[in-house]
Amino acid sequence: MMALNFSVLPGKRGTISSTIVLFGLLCAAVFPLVLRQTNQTSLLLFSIYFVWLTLAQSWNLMGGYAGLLNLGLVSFFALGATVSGASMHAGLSLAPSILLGGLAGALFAVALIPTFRLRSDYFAIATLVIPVLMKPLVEFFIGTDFLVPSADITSAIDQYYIGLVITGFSIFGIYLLMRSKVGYALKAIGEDELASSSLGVNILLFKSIALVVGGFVASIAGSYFLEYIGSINSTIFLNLTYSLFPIFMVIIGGIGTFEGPILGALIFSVVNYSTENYFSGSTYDVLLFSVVIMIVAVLIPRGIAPSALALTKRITSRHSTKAVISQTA
Amino acid sequence: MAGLLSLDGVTKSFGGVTAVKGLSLSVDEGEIVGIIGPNGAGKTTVFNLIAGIYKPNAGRIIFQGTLINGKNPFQICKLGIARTFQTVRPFPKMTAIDNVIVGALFGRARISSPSSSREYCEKILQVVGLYQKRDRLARELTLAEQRKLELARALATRPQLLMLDELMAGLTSAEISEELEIIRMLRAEHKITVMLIEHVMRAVMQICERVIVLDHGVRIAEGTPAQIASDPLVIKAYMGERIKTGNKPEETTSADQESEASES
Repeated sequence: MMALNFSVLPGKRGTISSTIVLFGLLCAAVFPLVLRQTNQTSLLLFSIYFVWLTLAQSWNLMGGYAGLLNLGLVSFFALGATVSGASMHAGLSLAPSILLGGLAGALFAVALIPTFRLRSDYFAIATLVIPVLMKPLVEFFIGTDFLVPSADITSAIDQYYIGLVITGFSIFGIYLLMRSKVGYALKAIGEDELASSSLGVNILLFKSIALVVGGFVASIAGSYFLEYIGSINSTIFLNLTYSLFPIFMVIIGGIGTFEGPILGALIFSVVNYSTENYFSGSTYDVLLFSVVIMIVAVLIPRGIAPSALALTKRITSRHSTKAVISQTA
Repeated sequence: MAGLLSLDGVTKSFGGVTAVKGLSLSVDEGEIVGIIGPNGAGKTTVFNLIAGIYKPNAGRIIFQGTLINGKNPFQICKLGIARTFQTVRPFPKMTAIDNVIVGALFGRARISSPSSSREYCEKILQVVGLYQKRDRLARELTLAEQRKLELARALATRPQLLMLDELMAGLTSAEISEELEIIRMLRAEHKITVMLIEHVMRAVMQICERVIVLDHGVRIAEGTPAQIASDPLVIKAYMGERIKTGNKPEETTSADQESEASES
């Protein structure tokens, strides 16, 4: 009976998952110490997972919780990368540059607030166009090619830890945000705008908060990506990969859930890694990932995390009912 | 008794259809006022105008001495007007208590954090009789429970004026009695003024001190439940003209269909 009560309480569900994730982060923190000296490839593999995971976190906040269908995540991502690249060139060291990239994204999000006046489907189309408009602007004001200066190139292990810190902050920052007053507003808005405004929720204000925080997180991911990849140029604004893949990850993992983006990004990274290693072609990962998306969309439209949790709930409750029956018999 | 809410010549039209025509009414503090009328009479439109979902084309809506037409729904809620919806709109993927917490955090109650509002919200769930179901997701509740949840959520905003849009529809006789008891208690203990739209006449007759009858966006009668029940205009609005023998009752049904279409 205890097990039944435990699994039914949704309040506890979040804490269990967050404990698991916290444990995962701790494991990740000691992972390089256990690793044999210079196994750089596995560290780099994790670094790119951190990028995707942070992007997925950002999109889950905007699209999953607040119902903002942002199809232009790349505009934040690329802006973060270019601004941090430019500030490193200007002589700023790595950490402040990454932070500055994030702040640029947050500021840009503030500039986008007027687009909320559009109906949600038009908002989605607007976000799709925005990166295309931003490319020439960035080329004009900031530059075209961005290279990490040799002074700011870090070792694989340092890079790994920077990524881990960014990921940890994005996961638990958003986790705490969602448990706060802001989180209640965002969840309510995501479920029913009319009902939330009738209960006193200022929709424009809280959507803006979601966009600014989400923009900050996505831009930080972009800044970190530049550090990982070494150099980028402004055509990155036209790369839909960074807009769409995070959405797919969130949908696969479970949209609007704490576990969703973490799980989705993990699955994506595993698929990505295995195709690159066993098929030696970069297009296969898209193919395989598309198949995964289709399977998820047809069989478990809510995503893997909610379905898995529902399944474990059913199993544990069946077990405990059996126990109760056998006790009473 | 001071006037809490007054509408002065309020008009709202959608394209060519005028849903509310020059409506004036006032509600005093502590009253329980019923709004009745046939389908498409404009009752829900009146609620939507007061709640700020629609902006009136003409007229003034005054709540506690301040003009509120043109304000957003969330501002109006913070001023102390809460409402429930005719078709329930719970947050389906949130638990019952979380639904109520949203009201407590952002309404007139303005409680600062989710954890400090918990106790307050549990009390409200006890009042409406949903305490046992507090950790269930809203979508798992029955329709009657979802209506109670709507009421709880509205109460959590700590309103001065509560607008209930067909709260009793689809409830059993015992459930209706429960709801009536809750409304009486709210007025007695929390000084909440109540406006209710209702088709369940038993409820209206039992609880309202004053009833306003709308038909085609116009007020056709106003008075005590007993006065309303015997008003020939009201009977005409509901039943249509007395049918002469031999005539088919087509006129009434087609008029009804028209008015239903205009409501949606």
